[in-house]
Amino acid sequence: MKLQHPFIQLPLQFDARALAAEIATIDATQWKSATGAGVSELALINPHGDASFAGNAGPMRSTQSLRNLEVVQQVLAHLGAVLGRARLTRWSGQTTVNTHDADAYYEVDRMRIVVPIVTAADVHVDSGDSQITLAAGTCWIVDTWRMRSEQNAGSDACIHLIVDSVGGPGLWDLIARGRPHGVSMQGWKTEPVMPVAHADFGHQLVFESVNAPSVMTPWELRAHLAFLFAETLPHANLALLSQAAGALVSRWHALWTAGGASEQIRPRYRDVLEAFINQMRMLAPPIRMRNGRALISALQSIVVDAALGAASSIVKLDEQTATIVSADHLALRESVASLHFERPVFIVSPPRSGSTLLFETLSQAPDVFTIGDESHELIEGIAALHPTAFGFESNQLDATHATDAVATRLRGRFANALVDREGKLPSCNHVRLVEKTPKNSLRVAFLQRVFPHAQFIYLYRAPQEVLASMFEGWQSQRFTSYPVLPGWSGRSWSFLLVPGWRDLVGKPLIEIVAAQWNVTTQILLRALGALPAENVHVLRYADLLTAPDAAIKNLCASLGLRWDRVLESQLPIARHTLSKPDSEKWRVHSAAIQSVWPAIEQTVAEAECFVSAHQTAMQPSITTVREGRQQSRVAQ
Amino acid sequence: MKLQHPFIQLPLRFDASVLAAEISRVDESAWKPHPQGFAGNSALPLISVNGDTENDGTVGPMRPTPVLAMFPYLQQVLASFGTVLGRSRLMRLSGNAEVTLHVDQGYYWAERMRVHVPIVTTPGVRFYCGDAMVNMAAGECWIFDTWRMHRVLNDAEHSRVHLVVDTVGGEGLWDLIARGRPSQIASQGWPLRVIDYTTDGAPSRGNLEYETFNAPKVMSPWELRAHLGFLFGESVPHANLGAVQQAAIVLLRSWQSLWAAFGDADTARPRYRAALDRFIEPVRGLAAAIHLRNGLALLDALRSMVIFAALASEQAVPSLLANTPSPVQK
Repeated sequence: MKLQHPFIQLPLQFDARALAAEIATIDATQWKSATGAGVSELALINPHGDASFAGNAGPMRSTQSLRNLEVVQQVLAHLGAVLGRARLTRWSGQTTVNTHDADAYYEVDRMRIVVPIVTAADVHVDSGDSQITLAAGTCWIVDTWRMRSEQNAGSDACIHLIVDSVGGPGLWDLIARGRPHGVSMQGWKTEPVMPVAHADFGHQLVFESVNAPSVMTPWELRAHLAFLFAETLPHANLALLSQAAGALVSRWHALWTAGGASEQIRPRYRDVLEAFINQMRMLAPPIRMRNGRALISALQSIVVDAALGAASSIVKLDEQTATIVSADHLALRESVASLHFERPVFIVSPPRSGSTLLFETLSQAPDVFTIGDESHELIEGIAALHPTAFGFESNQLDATHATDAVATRLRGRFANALVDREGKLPSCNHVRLVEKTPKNSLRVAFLQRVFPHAQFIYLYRAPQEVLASMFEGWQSQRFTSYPVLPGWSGRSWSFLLVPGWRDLVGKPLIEIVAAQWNVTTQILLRALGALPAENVHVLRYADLLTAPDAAIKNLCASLGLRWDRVLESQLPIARHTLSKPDSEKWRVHSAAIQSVWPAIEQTVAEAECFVSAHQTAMQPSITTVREGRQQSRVAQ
Repeated sequence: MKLQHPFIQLPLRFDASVLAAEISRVDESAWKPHPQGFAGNSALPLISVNGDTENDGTVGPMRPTPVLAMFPYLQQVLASFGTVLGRSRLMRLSGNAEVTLHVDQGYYWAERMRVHVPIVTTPGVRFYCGDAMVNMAAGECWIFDTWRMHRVLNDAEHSRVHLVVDTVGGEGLWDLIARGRPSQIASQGWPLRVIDYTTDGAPSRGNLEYETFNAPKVMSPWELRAHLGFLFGESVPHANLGAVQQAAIVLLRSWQSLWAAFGDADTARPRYRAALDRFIEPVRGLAAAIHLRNGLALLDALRSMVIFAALASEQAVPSLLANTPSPVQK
């Protein structure tokens, strides 16, 4: 909670020696290692009184450990507070702990009470503008909103009692009689609290039972957003972002009035939240708050993750994956467990290679399921996979990003979005997925891990045509992917975010586009080359245009897909088309393309090689020698 | 709800004569006199608590009354708003009568817009709101600022009948408002959409979304803070204001602690009641001297928006039990 002062001392003095003696009786195995090296914790008040629970959702109750600590219970009773999560924290010597937004939602409405039990002169708490040493047995309220670090510069371990609380009549009174650190108050003193033996303070404790709504009320949502926006430093993006926040609140209110927290209406809350998340991702990253934190991380924790009870459905630490699993995820896991992606097909290529045309055509196969559109949101909707998780490094994802939890969740998101060519949902357990998103050219290894036996179609289009089309795409600004890209200037970034994009700042557009194609193709070829050959299929765009029926029949045969349509000699125009297909229209840009050709020549040759090798192996009836000659002639 | 402008016309036009013909089919006995007995004012409930024509309250799920089924075009009109429908009625003002000057104060109207569609009217009917006055023509669609003082004068011989809908809002309605025309701006060249009666397509009743939750068993601390904050923001500066605000802070702190400990559990109701009593008793006299910018007394507004609404009445609780989403984890 944000306080007026970083540290406020309450007028209580506890018997630190008695506390330390009592704590020393605790079995060493009850201390669990916490975030940060050299830090361990002992849960005193935890969700359901269960020390193994992670997170801050659920009725807070005494753990077994607390029930054995009479002196500690007496301290808690004296606070006169509604007790939220409480623990003993131990730092070994020479350890510094920097605070982070562990659970900003839980902390934003709660005060943190700290009672140092074992400490020394060289244990400091630092809050940016002030650094203090908290004496043993004293009692403090600490502002968790400010960035803090706790430093144990000594050689011995120190132990603090930490309690989070929304408040309580007794506590508010203590605060009113408290003394802000650094403020001298004549005659102010603490009252000693002597331990009383064999008194049952446990019964006096009032515990928090409500802390994580399954659906936040619109007023709570509004309160958190208003608080965060009041804390921001000025920025040009604020006006639009706060507009988006206002729209979120209005929609949330309407949904609340219509359906409250009922299960049936939850998907609509989700949609409304997703719309806000999109705006947040675009606008929030560069905005900082007065306490030095990034607005986006606060919005994520305090609003996005909490609005639909992500916290409240945290069930338990998953034993197998050692990740926190929410009830939502468990439900998804069950449905996904029954849906099997059989040899899912991913069309990969640089942008503007005709993948939409191929995708729309293949989607007509009778057994094929698709998610209807590109998968940007399905994939990047998982926070760990969005470029902001990597400081906007790129859209690249590799096998290490496909943790079990992420993979399960992603498969679930795909599973929930599948429809066939008639718009019907899957009616059996095995589905053939066809998907295309140019960004996935940077994610082959990742997808292979998430979808075992994934099949990749490399759609290869003459690079001069691709460059020309990407160039026009950038100019049209119809394909912007990250309109607010910190560090990028000029036209809004379009198409996939390639590694090394920062080196392209200020470069002419044709060079940007050439680099984008080059990096993408390099990464793609390397990744495809690492796969078993039977999982890789190639198709030349020119073949798709000139002989679509044969091209698709062959492709389906090698993918094991049934095909029951007859294709006209000319395919219908795909969506995302900028101008009528015409194999010579790239010549308008031939001078520019010629200027960058040397930079991509090598990659062109590699790609040609790759395609020819695979074509000879798999599609003998489609080999077009004429096409091969055209590529090596280069832009003239 | 407080709006930026006293009157905003929405870009919709309906066929008032078709509406008038529809509503004329209903028997006079369906019309109810004004609950407070204002002369010349009567209402025909279309959407009410549980669809009960005898209940003109604002607590409980709002559902269509039986008579709404007799009005297919009127249902299409309701559907065209694209909003969550709260209490809705036909409001009739007899000739040579008036709706006297008032503010729609009360918890229900603090966060709801009121939509008017004149069905039967004459140019002589004048609607005053704040400093503005409009004559709403038949078939037009308006919202107005119910937080400002307003009154309606019907100088003509004949009754005026309006469709009146209270709503928190919805996607369609916000879009209409964004394209709306404040009354002080000329309507020349302002685009309208005409919604005529149609027999094509799916039954319009399926498109109507009704209010289900409009009164909490116990207000959450954030809602309580929102309403108190709003009222203090609306208060004209006064020497007593500081003390009242201080008392409100104490109330909010108690409320937040109680909420964390008990949520909206029935067992905690007496504690919440006690917190409200501790708040209102000392400030009653102080608040009575403070006025809001719209002329209301702060004490009255505190009562209707906070004291009476923060804790549902004991009689209402059983009906809310099944409805109100409870924050306490299962």
